[in-house]
Amino acid sequence: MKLLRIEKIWLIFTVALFVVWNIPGLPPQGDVQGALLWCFGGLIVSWVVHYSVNARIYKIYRPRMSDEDFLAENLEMDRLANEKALAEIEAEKPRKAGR
Amino acid sequence: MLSFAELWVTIVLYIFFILGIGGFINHQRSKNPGASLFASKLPWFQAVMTYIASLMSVWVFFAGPAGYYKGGFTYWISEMIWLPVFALSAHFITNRIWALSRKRQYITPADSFCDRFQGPGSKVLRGLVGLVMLISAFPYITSVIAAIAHGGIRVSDGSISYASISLTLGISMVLFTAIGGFKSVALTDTIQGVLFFCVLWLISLVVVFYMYDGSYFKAFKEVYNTDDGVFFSYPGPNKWESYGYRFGYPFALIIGYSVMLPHIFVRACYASRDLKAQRKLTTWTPVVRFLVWGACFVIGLVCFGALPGLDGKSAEYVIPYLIEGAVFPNNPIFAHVLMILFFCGACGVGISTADSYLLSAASIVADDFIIGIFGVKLTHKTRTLVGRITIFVIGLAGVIMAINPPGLIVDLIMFSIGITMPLWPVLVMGIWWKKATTPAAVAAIIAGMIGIWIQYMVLKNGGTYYGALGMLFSFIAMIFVSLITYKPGQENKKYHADMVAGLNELYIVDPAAK
Repeated sequence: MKLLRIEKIWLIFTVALFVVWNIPGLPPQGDVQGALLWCFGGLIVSWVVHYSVNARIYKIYRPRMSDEDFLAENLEMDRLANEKALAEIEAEKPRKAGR
Repeated sequence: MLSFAELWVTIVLYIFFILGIGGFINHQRSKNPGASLFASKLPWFQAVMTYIASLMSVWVFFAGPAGYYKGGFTYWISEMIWLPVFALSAHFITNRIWALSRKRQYITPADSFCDRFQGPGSKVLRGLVGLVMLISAFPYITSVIAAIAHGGIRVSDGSISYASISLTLGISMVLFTAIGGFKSVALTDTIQGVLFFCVLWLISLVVVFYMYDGSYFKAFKEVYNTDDGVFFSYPGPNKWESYGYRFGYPFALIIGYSVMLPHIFVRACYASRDLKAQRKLTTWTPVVRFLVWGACFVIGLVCFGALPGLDGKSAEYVIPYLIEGAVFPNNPIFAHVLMILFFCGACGVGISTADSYLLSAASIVADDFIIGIFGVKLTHKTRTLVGRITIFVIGLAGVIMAINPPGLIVDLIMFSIGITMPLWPVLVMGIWWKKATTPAAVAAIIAGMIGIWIQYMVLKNGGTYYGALGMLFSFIAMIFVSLITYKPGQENKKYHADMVAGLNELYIVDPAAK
């Protein structure tokens, strides 16, 4: 699957935010109001952008399979695993009887 | 505060609870002979809660509030700001692995690595990944048992011995995990996750009620006006939050803590029952983590206002201190109830992490080493038996280590997180770079471990940057060795084709999207 433009922007934004957030000296040590501004600003930007983009991504990548399809798939997996385990138990029986 | 009898009754009831669930799930499993001890497909609520409970460990009741007490507001924010990055990791990494895992039924983290990196060196890679994950497991299991035992001593004012609590709870945990397996661990995680979430907020509410007339705003205001607002500014009350730490700590949390720890990896990449569960996991876990850590932060803040000057070890017991100092003088019976809830919560959150870790460690030994590397052929029944024996051996080793644990709990936990970080470049480049080769993956992990060693032993700044240098070494080695060893036409085309097919099977992509 080719990367969409929104996915590239999402990646670049995250890296950029991490870089900006970590600029040494910002805010200065001991500056309470600067720290509050910096922290709440970063927090709000990060949460709003990530959740907005994620919501957009969910709209772009819509689920193809229903919950029922997944349920059927899981049940089939369980059935196959049970069959395999039962076959192993059956194969063990003659060996145990022979002892 | 709690008497010898009160604490033992609490412990016995708790053990009955977890063993009851383990027994019930084992009974259910006996009806499905093919059901695995180490894996299960979970509905969304269980998927979210088992992820959260596995993450939280004893951090929530001990090191968490202590961390905020010492690190202050900026330390808390340095974690909270990066929580939603989990959505990005999920979209680009974990959901892709999950799409493949649906078809290939991965069990251990190494299954995913070795599916991508095949051919010569694949067994070495499996061994390395398994080994790193195992090394990270022991400090976690040990720290959890040690913390609960210390907590027991603290709440009973030393009327019960450290060894008796750690042995009783440790052995019960091993039994429960061996009997019930992944499904029972996930179920107890869910129940205990809800319990500790409620207990944590109840404690925060009650303490604020008694100390600040029920006003969170008043608590914030008083702490804000203490010592020129040192709690709210860089580098925090104990000067923890330096600019270097502001980078290193969240970086370790985004990479190591949220994805790469073995029990977390299994939950983030393999355990969801359907796409709905996988998506809810992505959406809800940052929010729940914010709320849990928010409660820890409030407790740390209130304690900072009420009991300043606690040293490192004492600060890990801020909750008992607050219950004794703020609640007991006003309402002794309620204080007893809160202390019991605190101990149950600590047991719940600790054991839900340790059992998840134990299960992952045991599956690594059984599936990666015994079956994958040594090539021992086992039937499903024998594999379950080997798995249970492995759980016993690893669990008991963890319990014995807990009798005399090294260092502070937070240091042990953070080392576990740091050591898994060099695996991340291998995982990501395996998914996104077709030219990444198996020898490069092996070299990257070795280089990463050298980086970790330099960070901790030579530069002595492992407590600030954790696995960052190891990860950088791993990235460089991965690119460099891949470019040298890559031969055209030798890509794992099937892996990438199956991943694309798996994603196409899951999603309809909006044709208008660019």
